[in-house]
Amino acid sequence: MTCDFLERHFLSGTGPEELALHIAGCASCRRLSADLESLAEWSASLRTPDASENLTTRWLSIPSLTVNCDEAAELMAGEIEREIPSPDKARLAFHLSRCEACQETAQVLGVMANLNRPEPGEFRPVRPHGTVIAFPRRPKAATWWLDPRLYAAAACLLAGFLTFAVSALRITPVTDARSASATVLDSLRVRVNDITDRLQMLEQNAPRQIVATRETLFGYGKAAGNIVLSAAFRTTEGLLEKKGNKL
Amino acid sequence: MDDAALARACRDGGGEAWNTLVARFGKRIYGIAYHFTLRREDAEELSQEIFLKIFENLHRYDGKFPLSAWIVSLSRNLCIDQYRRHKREKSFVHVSDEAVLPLMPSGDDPAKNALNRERTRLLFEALSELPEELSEILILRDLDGLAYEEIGAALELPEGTVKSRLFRARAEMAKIIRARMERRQRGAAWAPVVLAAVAGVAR
Repeated sequence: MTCDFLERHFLSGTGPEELALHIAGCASCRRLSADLESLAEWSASLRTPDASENLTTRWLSIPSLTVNCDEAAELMAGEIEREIPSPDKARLAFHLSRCEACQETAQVLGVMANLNRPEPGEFRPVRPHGTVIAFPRRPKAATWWLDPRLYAAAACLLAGFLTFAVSALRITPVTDARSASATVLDSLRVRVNDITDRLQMLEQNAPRQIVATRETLFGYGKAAGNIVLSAAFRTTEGLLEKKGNKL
Repeated sequence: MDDAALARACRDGGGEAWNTLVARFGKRIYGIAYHFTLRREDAEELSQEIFLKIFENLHRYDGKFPLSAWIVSLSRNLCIDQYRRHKREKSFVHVSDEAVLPLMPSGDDPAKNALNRERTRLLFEALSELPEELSEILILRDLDGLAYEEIGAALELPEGTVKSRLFRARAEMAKIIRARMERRQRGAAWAPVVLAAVAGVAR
């Protein structure tokens, strides 16, 4: 098993006498300590390599090569108006070739630069006292799906729908699982009792309803029978009278 | 000029401020780049890239940590990517004499120079066998001379972890070097026997 005394000494900084005492009695720590000393000596003897003059000149020229993101944003804004001088354009182009975030920004600004500029005189609402208001027509977006108002409107609709849905469902927050399950059981019990009551009522009412239905049917049957019999009697009477007259 | 003022002056486009920054950190950045790549061309490209990143991101430096730690963190991130790419390309790392020459102390004794060259090669070959989390701390502390606080801030590690990893890195490296040297000595002991056998066969 390797001894961890040297590591503990290195981390916590125990005294040199304690270290010497331990090393005298521990072969593995003695060997490791000697190796570490050699290693430290080798590392310390190494030089730091020197950069060439040419390289240092390249480092110093970096501000003329590129810009940071804040400057890039300002230059991009300037480029929309076509005002930036060509050295700045070159620095901006170099930065854009290396910075994805600024590339995205440039693409979006490029879309804005392609928008239709409003023409004066297309729509002029008139104030009541007769002064014409120069109201520029809102330019159409070349790419309507990039319009942030579309997404804002969709978000409002979704929020309204969700609010309505939540209030319609009457979702109440469940604070206690036990009380929630008791509530569910109670509502089930109520429903079962309701169904049982209705069945009982049906059972009680059924015979009366059957009798009533039977009597009604007999009533109709009686009436129909009376009609048929009276019609038959009259017909027979009529026929007999006719025969009597002939004789 | 303190760190925050220097960063602000560079951001505001002060040419003198940038020259000061390059003078203050140039050697350290090049040293870190060289220790990770061991190739002059790669180290030059890497150091140029590091300075470009520093210039383009100075507006993000908020002064919470020392500027040196922020710069070391940027440098280390770029160097580690290069280091990993290099390791992937070469499963076996051989360190050439040309690679260690810029690191050698100057000396008149050719025998001593040869020994130093051999030791330095052994050192970097052993370094390449260490896990990345140990090798980077050893490079930053023992080869580039960074303080524990700077390394901790650059790697976002507590100082205790930095010290613990550094000790493990050194111990591992010492084991690897010792094993290699023992193998070489065993090989050297067998050399006369092998030579005699070859001579006998030739006769």
